[in-house]
Amino acid sequence: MARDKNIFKENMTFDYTELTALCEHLKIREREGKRLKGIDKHNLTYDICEPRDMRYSAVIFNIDLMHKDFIASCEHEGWEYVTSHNELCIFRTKNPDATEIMTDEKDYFKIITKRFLLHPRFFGFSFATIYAFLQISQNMKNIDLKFFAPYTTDIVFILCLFMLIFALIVIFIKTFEYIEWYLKAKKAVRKGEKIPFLNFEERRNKLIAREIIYGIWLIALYSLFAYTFLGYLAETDILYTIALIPCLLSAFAIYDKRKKIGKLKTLVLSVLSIAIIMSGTYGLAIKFDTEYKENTKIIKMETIPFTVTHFGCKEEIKQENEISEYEGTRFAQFYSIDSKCTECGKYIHYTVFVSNYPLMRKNFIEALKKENERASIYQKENNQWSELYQVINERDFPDNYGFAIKGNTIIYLSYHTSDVDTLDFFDTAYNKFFG
Amino acid sequence: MPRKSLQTLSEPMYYVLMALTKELYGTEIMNEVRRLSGGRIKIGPGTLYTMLDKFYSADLIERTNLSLATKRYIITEEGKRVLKEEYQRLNTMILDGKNVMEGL
Repeated sequence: MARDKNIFKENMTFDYTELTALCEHLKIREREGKRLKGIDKHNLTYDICEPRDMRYSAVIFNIDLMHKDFIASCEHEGWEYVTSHNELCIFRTKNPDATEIMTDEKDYFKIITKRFLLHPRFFGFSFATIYAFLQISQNMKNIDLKFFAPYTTDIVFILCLFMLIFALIVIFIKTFEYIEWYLKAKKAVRKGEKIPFLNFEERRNKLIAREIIYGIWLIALYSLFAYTFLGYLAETDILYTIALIPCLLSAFAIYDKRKKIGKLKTLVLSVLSIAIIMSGTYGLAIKFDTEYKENTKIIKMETIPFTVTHFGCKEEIKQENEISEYEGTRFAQFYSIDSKCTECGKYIHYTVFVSNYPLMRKNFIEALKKENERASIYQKENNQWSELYQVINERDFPDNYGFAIKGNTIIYLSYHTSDVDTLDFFDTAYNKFFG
Repeated sequence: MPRKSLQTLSEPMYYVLMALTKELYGTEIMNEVRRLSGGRIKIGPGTLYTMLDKFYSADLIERTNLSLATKRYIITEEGKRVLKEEYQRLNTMILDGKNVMEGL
């Protein structure tokens, strides 16, 4: 609400079903020394004046009929014309018994219903939003939300989607409220009673119900945003779970102030606060590497998937099998496994690299390819294996290398033996590993 | 059988048309309706002018003294016909009900 000396402004939040509440509100303002001066799409403007006891009437009226004769007739009945915006016209009188501006309830009900149905802003926006949502929802099944985490453009998409959902919630709520009012009003008019516009108390209850729904949406928005922004990390890292608390607190604080600061500032503050809290949390998480539990979606590698026994060596012969060189970071896990037969000297070494982030996987593959630049290409893209290399060396038999990619996992395999067919070897390794 | 719009008049419409058998302007119409109905019918200015607009569109009334600031209205021949029909209809209802009501 902006104040400027003798002018007082507040948001215009009343709709056509709340005309009684609007009149009661204006009456209260008059008693506070604020006299209605003007009304527009967003604001009620008041002059500061002596408090008075006045009666207000807000009507939906065809402004084409708003001519001097009509104003004169109103004045004859004791009504002073105050202001109007579109078809909403406001009058006031000192006389508590003055005849109402609209007295034929049946006719008035038809006028209001017709005006509401023809309102382009509400219904045009409603249909456009529903159409847009239907178009997007056609493609929703093809979108895997889990992998949006590192992708900024997709985060923007998610935000737009949530705003669209919010717009739909608003539309459905308003439509439901209107239908509820329409049915009540129709029943009243049929009985010969006055059209039941919502009064102050009823409007307040309606707004509380709306606030609960919007509040739930706000909680869902913050929670879903945190989850999609951070992907799997939000599931595994307690720091992100804790970060939801300041998000929700700021959401409620901003929501509480929204009537004073206006809709646009509410939206801007909400987006800024999410961005600042989550950026700060992300930075802290990277700095302190705060994974609090193992990510069960990445292979733990407690047991070695395959050993030299899968390639001809006897079980009872002593083997040396070990997992070495484990490295786990926020973005990837890296295992290095060796299996060696102590009798024949057969030796398998393989590396498992797991990351949810395509960029990390790409970098690893580029590094592998660079490392094997000196090798001659044995065969490319052999079924599951992306690359197979052979390096002729000074020993009895060559070293064979290959790497395969499946989902989040890259397996880089090398073996040193001559008594197994190379392709069979790699296929066996692939099947053993990926199942 | 469904009736066309304004073929059956509501009570306020009936009294306004009756009032407009004389040439009147807005405030005078409201006063005349009050007088004819013995204070029973009070028409608000918003309802009155919406009604006048409807009557004018249906050629039941016409505007006079267009050159003057204040518009006056008077019933047309078509308006008289509709008014008479409504009067006959109401009269018929009273006569039809007379025997029944006297027996009650």
